[in-house]
Amino acid sequence: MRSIFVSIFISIVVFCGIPILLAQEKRLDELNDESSLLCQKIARTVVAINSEAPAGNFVGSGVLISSDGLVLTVTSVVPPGAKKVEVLTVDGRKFDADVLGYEERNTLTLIKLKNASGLNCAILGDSDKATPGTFVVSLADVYQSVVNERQPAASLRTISGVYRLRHGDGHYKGRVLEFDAALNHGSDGGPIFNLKGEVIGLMILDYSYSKWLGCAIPINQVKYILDDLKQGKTVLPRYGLTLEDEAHPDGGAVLKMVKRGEPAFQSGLRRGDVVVEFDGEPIDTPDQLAIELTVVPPGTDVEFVVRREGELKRFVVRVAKVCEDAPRKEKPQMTCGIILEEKEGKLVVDSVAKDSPAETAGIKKGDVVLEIDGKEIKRVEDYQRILNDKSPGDVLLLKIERAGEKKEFTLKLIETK
Amino acid sequence: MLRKMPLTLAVIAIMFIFSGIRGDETEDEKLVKELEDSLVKLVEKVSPAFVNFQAGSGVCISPDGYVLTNHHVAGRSMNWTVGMPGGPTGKRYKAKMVWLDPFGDICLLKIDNKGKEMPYVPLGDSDSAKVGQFAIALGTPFMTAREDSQPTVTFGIISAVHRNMGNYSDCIQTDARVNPGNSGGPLIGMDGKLLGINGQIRVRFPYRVNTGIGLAVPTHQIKRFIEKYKNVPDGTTVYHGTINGLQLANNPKAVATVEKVEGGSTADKAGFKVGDIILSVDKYDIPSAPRFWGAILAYPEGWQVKVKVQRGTQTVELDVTLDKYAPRGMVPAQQPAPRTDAYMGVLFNPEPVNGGCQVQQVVEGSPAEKAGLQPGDIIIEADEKKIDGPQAMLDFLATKKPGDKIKLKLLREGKDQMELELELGKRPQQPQR
Amino acid sequence: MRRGSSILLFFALMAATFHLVAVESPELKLLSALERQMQKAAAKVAQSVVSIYVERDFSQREGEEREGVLPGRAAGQGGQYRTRPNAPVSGVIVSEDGAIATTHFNVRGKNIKRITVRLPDGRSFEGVRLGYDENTDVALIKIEADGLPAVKFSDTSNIKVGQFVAVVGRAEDRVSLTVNIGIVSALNRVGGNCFQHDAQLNYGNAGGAVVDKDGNFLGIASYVSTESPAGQNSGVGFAAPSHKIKERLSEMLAGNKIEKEKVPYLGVVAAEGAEDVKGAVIARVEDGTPAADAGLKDNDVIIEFNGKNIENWDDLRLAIRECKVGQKVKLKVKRTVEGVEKIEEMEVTIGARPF
Repeated sequence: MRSIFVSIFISIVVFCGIPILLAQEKRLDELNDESSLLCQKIARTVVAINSEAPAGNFVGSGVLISSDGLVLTVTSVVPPGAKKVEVLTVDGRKFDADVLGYEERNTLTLIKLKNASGLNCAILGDSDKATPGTFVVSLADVYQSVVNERQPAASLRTISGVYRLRHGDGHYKGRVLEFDAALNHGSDGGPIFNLKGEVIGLMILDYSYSKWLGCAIPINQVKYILDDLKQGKTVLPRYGLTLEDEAHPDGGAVLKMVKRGEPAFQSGLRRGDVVVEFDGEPIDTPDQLAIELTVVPPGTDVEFVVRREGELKRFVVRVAKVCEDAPRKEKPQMTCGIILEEKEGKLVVDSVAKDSPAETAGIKKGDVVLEIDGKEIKRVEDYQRILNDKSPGDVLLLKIERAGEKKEFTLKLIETK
Repeated sequence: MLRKMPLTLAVIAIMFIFSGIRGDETEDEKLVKELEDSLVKLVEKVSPAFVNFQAGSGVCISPDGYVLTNHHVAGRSMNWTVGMPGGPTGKRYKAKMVWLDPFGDICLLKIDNKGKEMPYVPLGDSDSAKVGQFAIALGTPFMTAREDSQPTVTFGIISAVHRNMGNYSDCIQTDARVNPGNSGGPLIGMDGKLLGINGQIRVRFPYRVNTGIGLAVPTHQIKRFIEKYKNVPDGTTVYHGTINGLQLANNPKAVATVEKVEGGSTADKAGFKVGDIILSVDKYDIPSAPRFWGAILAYPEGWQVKVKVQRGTQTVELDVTLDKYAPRGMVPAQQPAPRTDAYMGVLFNPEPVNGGCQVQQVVEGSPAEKAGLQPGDIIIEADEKKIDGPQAMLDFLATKKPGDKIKLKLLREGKDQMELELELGKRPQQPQR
Repeated sequence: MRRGSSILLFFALMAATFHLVAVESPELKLLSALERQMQKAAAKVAQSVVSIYVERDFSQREGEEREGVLPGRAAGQGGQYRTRPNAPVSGVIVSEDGAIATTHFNVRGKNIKRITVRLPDGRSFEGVRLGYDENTDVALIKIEADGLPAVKFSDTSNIKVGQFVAVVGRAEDRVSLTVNIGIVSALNRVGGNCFQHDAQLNYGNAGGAVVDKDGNFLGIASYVSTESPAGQNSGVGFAAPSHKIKERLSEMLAGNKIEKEKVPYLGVVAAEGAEDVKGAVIARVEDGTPAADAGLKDNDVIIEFNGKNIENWDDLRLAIRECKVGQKVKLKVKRTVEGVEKIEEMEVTIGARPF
């Protein structure tokens, strides 16, 4: 019996020991298996999107979040004013899509594919768990990898920082998951996944120009307003506070009312606190603070620094939301006949429509756009937004550069057909 | 035996406990240490095969000293002196050109190894590379290996495979950081074998610095050329294959469909018919027209391929012997060989930018740096002659000699037009000692 | 007896299966372990990583930029930013009583108005510049604080290419931690002074701490090699090794400015393709160099240098490296004058490689 015991003992040691030893030699192979399996699993949920708007064509990526074709993307891929949206899946199926809604502060666009079913969709994870050092896999239609070769291009990086973006290159002024790779052509709107294969963010271009860093909107912010977006509502940030009209004699905005149970109150802010800093920005007047308050996306954390009884105190508010049914006002879409495209970080005239105000004025293909309406703009999306705000009778001030010379034009605007 | 039970049960219990205590911390540390050790060992194994071309990289792929690099690194000369790791200044070897592949951007050279066995990286199977798998790149980005020819090693994953991006028709995309100087260097898989030769990057911004996209010419393409051109005379230029007379519908988002077949052409003789849907080329499934041409262009001229098409309800297999692909004009990846000794000390953007010739890099200590030229500057006039791109600038320089003073008009970000005077120097031969 | 052994067998097999299952379990074991391990490593040093804000008078940018040219700007030896972004950078606490290490590039220049250091615990202090070391690009700043959590220096002379590293810095909001992960790319770069890595460096995390997978302090993230205009990183970054910082710590604390080591240099260009010639053939002698001053000419063949026999350029390169700048060295060259080969003897004063 002893010998049976001994032989069992030995065989267990050998049985378990050898795999462990072998495993050591095969670690790199194991690593490869892990990462390629992960990429394979999530690749099918990524789509290539292109949309047409009077300002030009937009391309980028998005992620499927329901098997019947709900796709999340960003406004630089499907901007407000987009007329036609086309989506291509990794298995080569083409769909037209309708825009269900926009959430401007989060720069989100929700679209729905027409006549779609049985699609692989992604699971949304918990972006609050993402911290610097968290590994992420980004997938997108980079340089048309989905369009040309039916594969989203993958990159395995780490989250390098989590903070509120205030001086980005675009419109988004909320919290970001920063990761250490700049966005490339087509990455906008593409998802980033954690190691569990859950989406934890959507890529946006901000900081890619100035710092060559990637940024993603945390998915929790998206989840927070997703249902409202599906119902086509307008979502605004809610703090639960009002401001005194006059600034404090020593400077700062005075909190007139802080409603019980609301985000500001819950963070610890109280009536009478004098706000002197809002997320790192010094605040002198209530008008200044009012503007800052309206641009923060719902769901983002923001820090208030207040003066209370001579002491400085800090409070972090998690911004809530208030939803309104958006009145669908049918406004005519204006245009001047120019289509722009992004080239090496600059905006360039791609084409000038025949008999358009732009053609009459002498705008040419290849002209580099420096300013529109006196503002420096870098992205086609910004041009589209400016057009969206125009009404019949308005004009567009355009400053361009052609072969080293700067020229200015005042263009009439016409309604698109 | 019943007396022995408590003892044996105790032993088993202990074993159980040890199995159970996977103590998260210890387990993590152990796994990561093993992983790191394996990676370090891999790097040590392959680094000696690195070849330093100073302005670019290369890799030794056989014990008798065959070396691969990019055409845009080595294409302009038939004889090279290269460095390899070894000692504080590295070792130097002479290498001669075997064959050049301008379209595929590859050169094969042979080191004069004088009978000694050289360290090498064997060719791997790039067809089995999967998205997500890891790879390392060896190179000399920004000339970091210039002192001792020890390669810079960067680590990343395979982002995409079989990509058709310009003349890299069937390339591997990686997020391992590769930069100017990495060109020609190896992309190596976790099995220590060669997956591809790094050659290009794509950037969204006008600076030639990596932002996460590196492109490598894959081994499966290179292998075909090595096999076909085994016995050519040194210095032969080799060509890629194509199918003349075949036109596909220009819609990448749809399957590859034959739109036109020229009568009497290779396509016609092979049996292609209008309306055929391309299913595969040899072992590769073809989902789109760009992928089809990408696959075809990755073969040498004269190679025989099997193309499977869908014709109505039938599947038809066609045998095609590929024509020679000889594109007119300059190959984009190539910097033209200098035609003069007059030297500025810059690298130009191969494409015109903003209607002028853009400076990408300025060599330190060069006449350009002394004159105040900066990367990003766009030259629009030289000695009052209009410069509309790099070709015009090179044509202009070809008329100058060392010592000539030239006046340049240029655009610099943030400033209006600038003028500077530059005294041309003499082209240096090799880094100074 | 049978029952005993079958119970035994049962338990043994259970243990074996349990063990095997644990060993073979899937679900991204390695990647998750690496992720956790690197985050832990970063956390170990986080309390010592500070945010530094350098207020400059940017109206003096022109002068500053020229002054901001780092010696050794040669590609691969450190990058020059053409525009210095007005944003915070990172630093590391290296002594309990308030010595902070950061990159010299971060704090050099005459147009600095004020240096503010923000500690992770929220306190801010004004920083005073002490000494610096141009070779590793490390500078010291002193703040008036005590009992600070300093990093522990470690011996980095054994780090290996392929090892995992994380660069830990502070974000633009001056509070949030940033963590960038990569591997060691090469050793002995920048004249042998720094090691190279591919963790993403940008203007903000330069000056931050580089750690290995166990949280050991490997060095300060220093030079960034890039042609981008504002220091955006390309994956080629360098770090000043921990033990070198420790070596020079007392000197820098005393306010000393350690200048760039001079690399011995002759000023000649090697001839390519010179076969069957014993010696180092000179293709060209650059004007105004030590070689020119000594009387060396194009096409000379150096056959003896500093008493050493020279058969090829490798020999000569090594021989030059072993000299010191300023040293007077005797050499022998073969020179063909009007068809006649002569052997000439000369003396050259070794110069310093210009940057």
